[in-house]
Amino acid sequence: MEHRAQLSLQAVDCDGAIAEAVDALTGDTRADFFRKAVIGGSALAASLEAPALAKQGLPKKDTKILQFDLTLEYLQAAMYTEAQRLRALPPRTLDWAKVVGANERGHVRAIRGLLGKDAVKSPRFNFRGVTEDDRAFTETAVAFEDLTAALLKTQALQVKSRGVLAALVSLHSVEARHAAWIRHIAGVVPARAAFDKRTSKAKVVKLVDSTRFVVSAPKTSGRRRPKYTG
Amino acid sequence: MKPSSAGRLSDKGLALLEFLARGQSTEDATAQEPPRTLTRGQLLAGGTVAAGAITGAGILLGGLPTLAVSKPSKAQDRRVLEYLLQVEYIQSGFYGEAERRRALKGELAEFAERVGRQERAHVEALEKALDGNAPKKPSLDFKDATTDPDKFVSTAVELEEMALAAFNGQVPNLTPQPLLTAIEIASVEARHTGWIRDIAGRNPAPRPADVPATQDETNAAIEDTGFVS
Repeated sequence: MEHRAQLSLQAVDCDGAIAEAVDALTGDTRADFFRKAVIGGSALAASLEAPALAKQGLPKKDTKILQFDLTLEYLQAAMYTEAQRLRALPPRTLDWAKVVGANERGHVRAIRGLLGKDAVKSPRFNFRGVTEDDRAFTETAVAFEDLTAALLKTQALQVKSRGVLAALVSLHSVEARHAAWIRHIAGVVPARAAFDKRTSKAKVVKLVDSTRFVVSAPKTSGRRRPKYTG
Repeated sequence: MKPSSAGRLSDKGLALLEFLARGQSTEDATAQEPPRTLTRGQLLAGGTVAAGAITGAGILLGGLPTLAVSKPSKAQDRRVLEYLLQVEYIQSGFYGEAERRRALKGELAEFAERVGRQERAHVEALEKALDGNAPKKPSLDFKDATTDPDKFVSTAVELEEMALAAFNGQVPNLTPQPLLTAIEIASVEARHTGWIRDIAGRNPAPRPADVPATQDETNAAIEDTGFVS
């Protein structure tokens, strides 16, 4: 019944994007990472052993998609991180903000790693009291998480690189977990339908615009650290 | 598409998962679950990974060595959908039995009823995608996991994590139409996972990215449950 060939990292990671993401995620050079990996088991190092991967960059379309996602992740990370810092939300919601904030910061690092020099900077945000207001925070969080999961489905059909697709799939289901969790806290059904439908980028833009959270547009240089940490 | 020699998770994959599971987060947010020794089944199900124990680094890394990707084709679609349908048969069997036996109360009964209905809808969608040529349903026995509330919860967590990892592992292998169906289902499996983990008092989203499973790993996890005869 087994039909799937186990491919090496080299074969899967045809554009080097995932390997780059790994470097960005760990904050290590690959050499450092492998040194650490040996502690966990030399098998790990062996499994990732691959010749230096060519830095060819991503397909243009994928770059554009990831740049939009990066901005969306900055927004989510900033909102939840601010809520965590202000500590005004009830305990369960605050726990949600802490865990999900950490996850979204992880997404920021992952996508910045995938984009490399094409990473956009974070816009500046003003959450207008939403991070201190239980009801407003919860409603906004439900909308952000539901819509992000829906958008990632559309993008899964659009991206050219299968490495990028695999990465988006891994992030996508985490957004759906976040959505179910915040819905459960809010007392609304975590899984409304048997199939989660996709949504368009335009709908997401409309939602984000309606919040008026973004107070300055992102610039295209990705050289500096994001400013979302408050 | 040469057949894989690995009938089970390779030592290499296991060593990686153990390494990742032991890793300490620099952003350990709520530590709802203390790190502990994991069994292989738990690792595969992603069930007991400590909150934040797998950092961003774990993500893509965790996926890499086990990521089995082959170029999408119609023939491959069929094989993948047949396999994913097996996973859905087990889930819908589990919740269907829980409903019939009527031993669960309150939110657990509600969970079994709603999620069961959704898993049946997934079965129908996958059978339809296979033009009615569906594989044989497995013979299932869940013992007291469908009546004992604690066992029901831990089993539901395990089955949902397993299904999610199975779908995530296959989405990149499908052509566009089945890909869309599979990701629409994966998203709902992720919601079930988040929901039941919150009911269980376990961190619903312990990692920034979900680790996909290969078919071998999923089959091994299914075997470990002992539910399929």
